[in-house]
Amino acid sequence: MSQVKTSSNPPIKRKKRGGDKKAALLLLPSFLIVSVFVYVFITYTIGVSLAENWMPAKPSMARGEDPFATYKNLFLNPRFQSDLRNSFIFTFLFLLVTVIAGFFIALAVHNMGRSKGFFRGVFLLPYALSFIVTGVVWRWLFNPDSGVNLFLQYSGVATLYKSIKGEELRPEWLTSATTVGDVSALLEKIIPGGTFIQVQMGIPLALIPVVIATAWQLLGFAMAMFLAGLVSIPDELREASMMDGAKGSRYYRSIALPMLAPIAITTLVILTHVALKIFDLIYAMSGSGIGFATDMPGIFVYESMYKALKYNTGAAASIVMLAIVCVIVVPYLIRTNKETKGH
Amino acid sequence: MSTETLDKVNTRAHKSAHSRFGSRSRRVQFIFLCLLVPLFTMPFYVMIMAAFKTPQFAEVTTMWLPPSPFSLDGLQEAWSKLSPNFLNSFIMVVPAVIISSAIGSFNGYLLSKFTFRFSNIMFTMMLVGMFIPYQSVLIPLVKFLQLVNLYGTTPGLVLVHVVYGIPITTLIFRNFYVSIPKEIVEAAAIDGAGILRTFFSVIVPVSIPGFVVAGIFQFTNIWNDFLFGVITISDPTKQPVTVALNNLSGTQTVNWNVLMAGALIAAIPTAMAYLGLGRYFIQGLTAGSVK
Amino acid sequence: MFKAKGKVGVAVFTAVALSLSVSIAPANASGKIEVFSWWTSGSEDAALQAIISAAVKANSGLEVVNAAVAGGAGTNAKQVLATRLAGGDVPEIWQTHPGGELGQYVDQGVLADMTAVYKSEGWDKVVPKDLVASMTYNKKTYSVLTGVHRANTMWISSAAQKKAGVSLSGSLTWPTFKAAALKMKAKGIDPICLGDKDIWTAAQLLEALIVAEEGAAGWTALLNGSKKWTSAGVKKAVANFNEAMTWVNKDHKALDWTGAVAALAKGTCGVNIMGDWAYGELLVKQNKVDGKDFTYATFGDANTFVTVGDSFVIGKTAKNQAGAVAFAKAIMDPKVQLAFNKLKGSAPVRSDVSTKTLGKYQQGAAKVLANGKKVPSLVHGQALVAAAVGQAYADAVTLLQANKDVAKFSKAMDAAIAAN
Repeated sequence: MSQVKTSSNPPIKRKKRGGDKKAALLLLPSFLIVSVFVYVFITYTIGVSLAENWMPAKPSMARGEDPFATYKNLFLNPRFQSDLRNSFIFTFLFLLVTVIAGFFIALAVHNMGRSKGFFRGVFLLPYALSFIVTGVVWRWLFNPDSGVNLFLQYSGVATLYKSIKGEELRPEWLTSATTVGDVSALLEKIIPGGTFIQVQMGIPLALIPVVIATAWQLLGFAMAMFLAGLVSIPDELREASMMDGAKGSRYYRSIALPMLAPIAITTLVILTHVALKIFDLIYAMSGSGIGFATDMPGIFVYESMYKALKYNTGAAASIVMLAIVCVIVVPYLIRTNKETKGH
Repeated sequence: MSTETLDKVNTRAHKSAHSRFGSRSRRVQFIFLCLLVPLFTMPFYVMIMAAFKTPQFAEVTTMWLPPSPFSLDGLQEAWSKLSPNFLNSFIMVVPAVIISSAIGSFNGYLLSKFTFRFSNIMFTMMLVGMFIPYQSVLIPLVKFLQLVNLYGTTPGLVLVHVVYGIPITTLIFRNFYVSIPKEIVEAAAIDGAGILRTFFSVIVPVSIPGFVVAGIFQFTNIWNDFLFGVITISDPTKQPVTVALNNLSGTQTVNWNVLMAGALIAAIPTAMAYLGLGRYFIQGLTAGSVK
Repeated sequence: MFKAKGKVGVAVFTAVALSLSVSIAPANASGKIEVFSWWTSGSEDAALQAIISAAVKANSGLEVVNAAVAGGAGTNAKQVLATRLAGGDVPEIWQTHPGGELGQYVDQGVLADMTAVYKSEGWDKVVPKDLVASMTYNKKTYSVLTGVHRANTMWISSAAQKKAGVSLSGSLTWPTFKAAALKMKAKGIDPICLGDKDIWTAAQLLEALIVAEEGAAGWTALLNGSKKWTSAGVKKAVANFNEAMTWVNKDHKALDWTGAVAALAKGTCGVNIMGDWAYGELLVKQNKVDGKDFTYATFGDANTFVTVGDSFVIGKTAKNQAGAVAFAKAIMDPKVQLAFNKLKGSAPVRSDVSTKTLGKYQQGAAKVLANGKKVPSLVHGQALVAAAVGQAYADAVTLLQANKDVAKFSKAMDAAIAAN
């Protein structure tokens, strides 16, 4: 991937193999303890999800006649169907906005002189806030009557809109019950056992303010990641490309971008993990929304386990989310890990 | 690194940036950034205004208006309820960030510079597991902590954060190190350095930006964590500040001025960590590394 | 012989003295107890502190650790409690709702039986029988109530009423309310204030409408499964609800319940169906005067009280049982009942507590609590059904708001009650 060709010494076989085995051993402790905290606990959770009536002080893993009934009911539950839809759309939109904006902001900040520190601070500061408070503030900001809609009025955009379209410009934001684009019919043809979909499989407009709020909070982190990548590009590469007379954009396209690819992947993985587990921010901002427009699996697990006291349902939902991640993310991870390690 | 070297490197970066790009595109970027600034600070404006209002006035319909009357009550109440827990957070966060970053960087080095049979599988397995919502593994987690006698203790909470932080710090460093040419490592190996020595003498010096982002991520993550803090420690005097912050909002009644003031106060240490770490975003640390 | 007699004499004397001291000396509990609740700030915290200071004063040497966790209307606290119960780290006292939630703790066998204390302290005589019944399983009573809130109160803005030229009071029929609502709408006032970012407020509104249509007996039947949710009463109530949703403020999904109360206080909307924790909000935060700035009424029978009780239970395996009982006694102390409910805005559970010093609304509520028909609130987890039914109800209301489909709603509720 790197444009710089350096002389490669043929690896000294014996030393390398010895070093590699040692490396595996040195990685083992981390791997083991993470595995306990992750896979052993997940196994316990799977047990809870199959149990008939597990309770904290009476942790009985005894199964009912149909241990998979919990999972079946989950997929038939309109709330969980909404959660899957919302999670997918939210993650996609959020990644799109945050990674791309973060990248361009990082590029711009990287080129600044003395104002670099100031800009870095402004964009990174939202990340320091607790998610709960972010949710509340943005709920206020997106209030259709007293929030950012006021700017539309004061700036004249609203009057302009009214003169063109003839109707009021008052985005409903979180209070919107509209879902755009319903592909339920298509999905029912694809997924076996078809007509169980009970919700509109489109984009709930109420998710847009949620994406904006989360992007606001996490953009600074994406920017920081790309900045770290940009400052690590060895000076020689930059100067060499200058001497070759390459313009700025050519430098970016052929040198900087490829070098930033691993960092981009890291950012994508971390932000995906944030998006899939999002809870506090949305809970504080919009709750489950109209007709579950902004409900997320994290909220569903929380309420199932600790409000409805149905531990098996909550556990099952978590396992389903994990399974979906495995199916989608794992092949991607394995492939990109191989690629980025290429050289 | 001494401050003189920092300054020298900074000026060099500054000059490089200047010389490569025409000042026109820099100006455009500058304007672009300036336009974004009000967008990003708007929520802070609302928060700060609310923090200084009286409870009755601090609500959604009056969010844009400055406080009238101006009141320090929110700040005072928030401070009195949060300050006892600040120390707890520090004692917990600092070791957790340092340890998880250190382990992550070492693991990242192992995964990026060595090829062993299960490296890809081990790495992927470590990453995937953290996608599960933590609410569902709380109970086995508590049982485990009780097993090792760390339940209810700060070291127990540090352990939890370190373990759940390892996958991400490993990811950050591993993908950061892949762009460091393998030849440097092998050169050191030829010189007779073992794995550990190569790590400390070759890898760590060029890892600074990696430590910066890992530090930013972990500090934020761990400082703002509520779930593990409230579950693993039941003694209210030992809980981190996020639990106290959460408790500023009552079940039925919420005094927004207190909550906003509290949120701002609680964010200060993290903001300062960013300031401190941000100074290390310096160009040219890998200068001379490519022969 | 003298020595032997003396020895016996001393022994007898000591025995008598000891037995006297056991029966005469006040039960003074000491040591540390942990009180676990979700009351962390404002009036709730103040009210809790009233109990704590009373308990500490009555028991020298008693140390109370206040381990409260806010959030999610108690769900955060329940999350912590679940992990603690699973780990065997049981607090002495914790907060719960009488009804199905309490029942699930009883099922797990983690609660201490308080029947004996009820008898010895005479609480079974001063607490209304149906309230005690909601905390009793298999003839054993397991918790004490701090106070009872009412969920089906309609708060009315006097300014809005005046502007629209209506006057609502007492028991309201739907036609009466509808007429008033339309008058308010004509004057540009949103008839109903609603802040349902958290769905429970809308669910509470529907619950009040169902109770109004079905009555106390009907509601009980719906909850225990003997009446189906496809009944005419429910159908009418849902139709009313759908109509009511056309009368709410447009930004209702972006407001929480306090935002709706604030709007009511300002007079931009007419009425707000809310539990009487709104009373404290109106008085203290909004600085409004009972009777002058706001009044109250009820959908349907004004003598039907939808209860939202807060109760505390004792962990059977907790270390300091004596301390826990002492705390429970402090909760039920008449002076503490008065002080607590003054701060919290709910009604005292003891019928022998004079309500003269409480606000006008509270006096009325206490009377209805003592003499009226009491039914548990499903929204607030008071009903004798599994907690999952309450969650199913909230979910069904969320969907109902979006699709207005009464058939789906009824089907979901019947399924939930059957499954649990």
